Amino acid sequence: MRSRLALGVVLGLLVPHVAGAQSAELLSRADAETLARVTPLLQAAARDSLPLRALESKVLEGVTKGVPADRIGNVVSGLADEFRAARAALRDQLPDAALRDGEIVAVATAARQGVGVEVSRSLWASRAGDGSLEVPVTVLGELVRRGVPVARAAEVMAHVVGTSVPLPVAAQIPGKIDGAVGAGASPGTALASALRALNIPNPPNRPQGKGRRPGG
Amino acid sequence: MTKRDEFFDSDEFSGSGEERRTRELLATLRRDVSAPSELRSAVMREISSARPPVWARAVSWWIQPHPVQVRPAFAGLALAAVIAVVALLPRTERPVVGTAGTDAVGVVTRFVLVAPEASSVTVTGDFASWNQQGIELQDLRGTGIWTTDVSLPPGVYQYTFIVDGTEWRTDPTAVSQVDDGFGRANSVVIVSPEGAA
Repeated sequence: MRSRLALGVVLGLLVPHVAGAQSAELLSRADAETLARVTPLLQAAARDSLPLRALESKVLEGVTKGVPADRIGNVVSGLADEFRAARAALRDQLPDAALRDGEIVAVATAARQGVGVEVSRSLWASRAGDGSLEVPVTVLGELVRRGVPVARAAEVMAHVVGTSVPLPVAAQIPGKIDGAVGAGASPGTALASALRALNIPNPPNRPQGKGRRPGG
Repeated sequence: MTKRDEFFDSDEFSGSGEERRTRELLATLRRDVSAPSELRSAVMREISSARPPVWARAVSWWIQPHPVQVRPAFAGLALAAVIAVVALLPRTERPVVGTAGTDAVGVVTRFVLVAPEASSVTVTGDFASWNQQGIELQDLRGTGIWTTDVSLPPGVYQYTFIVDGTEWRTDPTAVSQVDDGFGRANSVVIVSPEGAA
């Protein structure tokens, strides 16, 4: 009983400090009008377990860039809706998965680039470990944004997360595609060229190339 | 008089050879025996040399368990005081800029902008709370190539350069440029667990 009381006292002193730390910078930098506009949005986002830091960061970005309060509110509201949709779709099919904020942001961003949430979600089924899928989902979105067909991009990234392709190597795929496209290749050809250049083996249902160690 | 004294005074005991040997033994035992003078100093020398040095005793004091009595009320007040001091300390921004090895958690990510005409370049973004002061880049060789190394946890970040304090400029070498929603564009950097792209 006494230990519970002590724990309650300590938590009572600590929790407000910790909770306030997240928005202290926002409170000090945003004007009253902006705060009035975004506070209800952030409170709703917190209730829905959305990536709060990403939303606060967008507010701070708007403040620094001198954007009017109303426009900041509209952008943050739209972003929160995207996060909410991404989280709901992931949670629906992956009820037991521990979703990281970065993953939700990546899925929402990829959706804006033309990758359906159900496609991003397929990476969860393919991954070998329990590492974050923020980077793979982001790369998936970048491939599609560069014109690689969604199915092909998803196939490649499923292979990446399911095998031992190091993430720093996978993260170079978009840049390599840019180089090949700049030289006149189509996105599909550029992707194949990028995979070859990075020594990433073709996905299993594709003809296997001479495999060296990825990135080696 | 005890029975033992009576025995020694008795005729049975006196006059016997036993008496003589006993008296000699008693005389020997009663003789004053003093230790040689050097024995005392030798013994003390041995004792003091067996005593561990001060530092060893100090270490031992910290290692050995000591019974401590605490009044719960005072302990609670002390804990509350510590928490209050921590809560009231002015919060300082942890410097983000670093070189390789300064932050075991982060991945050192290099930002580069070629801007020969610039007199100052900073970078700001998600990782710098979009602070306008941002993180300064250096043109160490005076060649117009501005660089800085920033230690970042793995993740995906949006950022932009600020040239001469006023001009927002995207990174032409970034993996991607995205609409910032405010009518401008941000650059994107992917920081994977072992390096940036």
